[in-house]
Amino acid sequence: MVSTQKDPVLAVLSLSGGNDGLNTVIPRNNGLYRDFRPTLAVPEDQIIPINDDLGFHPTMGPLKKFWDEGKLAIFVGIGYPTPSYSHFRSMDIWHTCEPEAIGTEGWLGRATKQLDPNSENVLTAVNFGRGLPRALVMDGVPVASVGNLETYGLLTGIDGEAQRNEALDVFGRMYAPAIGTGSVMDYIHQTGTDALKGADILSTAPDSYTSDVEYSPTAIGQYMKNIAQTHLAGFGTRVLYTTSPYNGFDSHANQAQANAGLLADVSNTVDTFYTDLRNHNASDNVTLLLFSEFGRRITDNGSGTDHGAAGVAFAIGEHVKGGIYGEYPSLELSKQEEGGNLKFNLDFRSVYSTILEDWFKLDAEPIVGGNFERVKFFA
Amino acid sequence: MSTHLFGLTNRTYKYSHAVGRAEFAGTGFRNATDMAIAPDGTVYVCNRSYENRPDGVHVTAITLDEEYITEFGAYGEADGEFMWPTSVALDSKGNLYLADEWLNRISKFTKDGEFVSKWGTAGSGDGELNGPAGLAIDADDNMIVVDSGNNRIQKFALDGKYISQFGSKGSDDGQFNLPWGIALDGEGHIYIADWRNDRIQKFTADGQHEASIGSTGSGVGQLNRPNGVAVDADGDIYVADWMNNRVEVFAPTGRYITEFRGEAELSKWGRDKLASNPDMIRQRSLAYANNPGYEKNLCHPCSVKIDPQGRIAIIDHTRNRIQVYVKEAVPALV
Amino acid sequence: MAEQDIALMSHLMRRAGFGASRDEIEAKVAQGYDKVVHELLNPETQEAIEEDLLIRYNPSYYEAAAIENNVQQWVWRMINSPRQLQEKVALFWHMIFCAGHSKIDSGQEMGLMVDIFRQDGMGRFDNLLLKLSTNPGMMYYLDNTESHKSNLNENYGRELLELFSLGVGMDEGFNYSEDDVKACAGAFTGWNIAPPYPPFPHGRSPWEFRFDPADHDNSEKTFLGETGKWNGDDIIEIVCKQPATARFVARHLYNYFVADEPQIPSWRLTPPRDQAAIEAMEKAYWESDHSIKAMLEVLFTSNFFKDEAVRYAKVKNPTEMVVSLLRMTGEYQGYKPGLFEYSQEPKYMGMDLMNPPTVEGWHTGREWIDSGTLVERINFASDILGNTELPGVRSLVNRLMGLGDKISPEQFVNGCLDLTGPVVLTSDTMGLMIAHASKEGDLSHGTDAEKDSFVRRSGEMFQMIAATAEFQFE
Repeated sequence: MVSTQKDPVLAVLSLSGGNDGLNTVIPRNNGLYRDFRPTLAVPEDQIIPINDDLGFHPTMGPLKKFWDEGKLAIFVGIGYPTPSYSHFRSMDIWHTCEPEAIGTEGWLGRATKQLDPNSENVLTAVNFGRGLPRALVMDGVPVASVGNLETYGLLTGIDGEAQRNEALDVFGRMYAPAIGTGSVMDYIHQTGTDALKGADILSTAPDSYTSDVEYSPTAIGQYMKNIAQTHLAGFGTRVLYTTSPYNGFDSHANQAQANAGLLADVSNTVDTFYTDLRNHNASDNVTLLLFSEFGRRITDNGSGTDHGAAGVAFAIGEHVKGGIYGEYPSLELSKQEEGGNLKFNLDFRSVYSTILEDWFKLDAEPIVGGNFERVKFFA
Repeated sequence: MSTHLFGLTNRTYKYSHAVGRAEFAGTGFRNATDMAIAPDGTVYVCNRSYENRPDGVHVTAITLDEEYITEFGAYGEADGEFMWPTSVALDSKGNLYLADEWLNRISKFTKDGEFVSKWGTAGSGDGELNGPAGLAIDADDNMIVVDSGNNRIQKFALDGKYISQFGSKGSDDGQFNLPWGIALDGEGHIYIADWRNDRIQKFTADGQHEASIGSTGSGVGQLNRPNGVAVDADGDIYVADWMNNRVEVFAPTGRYITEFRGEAELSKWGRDKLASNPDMIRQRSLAYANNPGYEKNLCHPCSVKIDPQGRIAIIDHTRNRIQVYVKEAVPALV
Repeated sequence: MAEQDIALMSHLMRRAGFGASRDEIEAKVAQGYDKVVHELLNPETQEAIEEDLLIRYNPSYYEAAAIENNVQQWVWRMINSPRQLQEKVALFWHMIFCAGHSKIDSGQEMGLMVDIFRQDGMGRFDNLLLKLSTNPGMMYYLDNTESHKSNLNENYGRELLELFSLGVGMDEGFNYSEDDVKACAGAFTGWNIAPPYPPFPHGRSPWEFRFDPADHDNSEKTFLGETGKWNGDDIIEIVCKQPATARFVARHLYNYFVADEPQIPSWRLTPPRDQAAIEAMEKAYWESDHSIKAMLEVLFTSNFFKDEAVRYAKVKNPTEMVVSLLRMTGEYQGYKPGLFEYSQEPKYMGMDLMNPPTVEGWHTGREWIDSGTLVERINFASDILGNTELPGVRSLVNRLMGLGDKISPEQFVNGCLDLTGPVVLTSDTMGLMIAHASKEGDLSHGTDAEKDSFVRRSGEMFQMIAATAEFQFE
């Protein structure tokens, strides 16, 4: 498949640590919510209403704009059967679509393989952050992992532009494919050449970027800016991935203050991101997915909330059909998941399948490992 | 019938309660190393946490009745920040001083946690510091610092002006091997937890060696890397016997009286935490049936302090809580 | 000191440890090769880590629940332990007896499991397997805790045979049948865990192994041709008598310490790369009553290990890459903040320590390298090796200056390569390096300005060396 700028693009912002769905999209008229959250219930008059039953956390005004435009899909009660309360395991399950066995391949690694079967473009998928999330892992699928786009490249520790350019020149020649020095060596030479090529291309993205908007100086803001820069540079990148600072949403204590800051940052950044793309007339082919590995316990612990089960996720985009998808889980004791949690009713693989089929036009079944009913959230 | 007290009269102790739970912020502690207790009952707990959880590094102000007051400080090198906090002490006006053994500095905060000033220079010269590990402030508002890496005790004015020092590296009387905790008694004697020599040394206010308590081992009256020491109004000495997971109690003469191994029950904040995690209540009940001692016992206790009511508070480092004992005038029924 | 002795000793220290500084290499050459091997194989002859100091300055390492603290502590040991082979062997078993934090969800259990590899990794193989089979983390990871008399779960029974001892097959035959798997799994029923404390409110307790006789299937079983009321320890005894086990351990040792073998699943059909080497280690296994140390002794003193053809023939795994550079440059010694970031580096390079992707472990050899991980490897290596502020690098620069008042670009490049390995470059790469160095001519260090330039050029040359394809090997 030949990639053009108008091919559909997926951006993902993973909210690491387990975001508290209950205080993100709040069942504002449910008395049980206040009973179970003596310390952390958001006062009714501060909640931003979404509909008769639900409302946003007070800091999420910027996201509400997209709801009003009809371009925000809210997934409630999202999760999977037999929840894991381990960050690592649960994130792995979201990454690999394997709730039982331990999987090694990521759903977006597989999707990238289908989007670019011969790895013609080393930048079909790009991750922002150190280390590759398992979502993007698949043998033979090159994925650039960019710690900082402004400085990304090889031999970045060499001071002085001239010195570094000279060193890179030597590097380029050193790694020039040298057939016959042994198969492992040949392979490393080829890989080094690819890496240099990818870095060379990526390093041009910040230079060609101009913008009227200002992203927040946080890691979330800066990585979303990198995603915008890479998208706007037109490298044919189809999957752009980033993760919020590790376990930042793990709000066991002092949640009220910490989460207000995080949710404000996420909402503002999403707003900035789409404003940026719209100003460049480049938002039409981008869908943004926000998810977290799990929600949190229904009852607060006097200061925060502990690891839970079903949570909320969001999709935003010009082609997204706004609405609430899934059913808001009951807070009643008898309907809770084991351990005082919200019970899932929307499998995350349904959302993935919809993205794969309706957005990327791929066959979802081999990627998510089964047939999951699609959620019709694309217009 | 006669009782056999063997001379150990007027000493009965009873476990009172536990305070705190494991938490990186708010109502709990993370790898707390020391505490200071103000006359009004405010307890300042210094949380060391670790570098990948810098959010856990701060001072938590609470009461022993488990009321949360506030927290302040953060991980880092800027003013009001610290990296490897070891100890805290209060002056007569209620200001708090905190020692950082990595940055080799003492930071001063108001009782409400406002940063005031800092001082400290790394080195081994007079008034320089190498890993300050224990702090005490005497009745005249002089600060006594356990300058651990330099194996000496230094006395300063509160603004950091050097006054005097004693001690050197070694195992003879008056020598030290990486000393840690410090306590003062009502008469101004200085007690030092001489950590790697497995003993407590008692000095006069001007640094004359008076006595040593303890030897290496895990038996009665022996110590394995003691790091905290306290002296109560009667002159009894409490030693956090770190690697033996106990607090030993000695009479003013140095005679062994008893030890606390820990008897913790769930704290108020601990109950709150479990209440919102019913699956853990279930798991805990099975674990408790299998091994109740695990949760009750002290694990790496590392600081002992006496509160204004004479209660004995112990930082139970690894379990992230404080265990409180009382010394009862009327003998306690165990 | 003879160049070939230095080269051999650095080869030994790269393989039997995580490399060493040039000063240490020279001290060890002076001791003599066989003496050094003896010390490596007998860790108790070398200084131990001062555990009280380690915990005092890193109090959170004690019973640490967080996985990061356990990884960090292990990396600290790899860098600082005088007992280098012990840590290298711990990593060896961790890469074979794979269990991961993502399921176990207790960093402390991972730390305790690695400690078994550290303490018992060079002892009798039977004992190691017994420790492994009574390790609660492993029992849980491979579902033995879900295997009951009434309802068998074969996972641990199967992996014990397939991945931990016999291997699927050898010499084109099969080593065990499906019935053997069932018998094996049955023998381990009742090998379970006592209920541990949950994380809240005071932290997880260490897990304890507990045998439950009521849940143990005590019926008669036939396993590898022997019939009896086998319990788990009987199974281990039978397994350790099998020729396939000696073969399996020998091939793994060769693969890790000598040269990359083909990927493990192909071992049934693919003969060893060096049959004689494998047989020599097998012989040691039998003659020593299954001692890993005896096998390692044969390995390190053999010609197949000392052979120049196997030097720099293995792709460094990410942990080796990171730790050996930290050791060479003296960047992380003793107790100080900053180790957390370093301890995460192997993960960025594709080796998330204490969290292997599956029970089959990491794919090694060339599969460590892809365009993403290569960038991480090169940038990390060149940043640290090019940092002339670091004591180890500074000492290399001083040695370079010791080559003469004025040195030519050729001498300079050769000196840099010698001191950082010695690294052997292909002639093409060598030519590029010399051409690069020649642009600024000869090097002197008489004046301050010359000294500054010498230091800068050394740092740059070290960065270039760290960026070579050759540097990816050990």
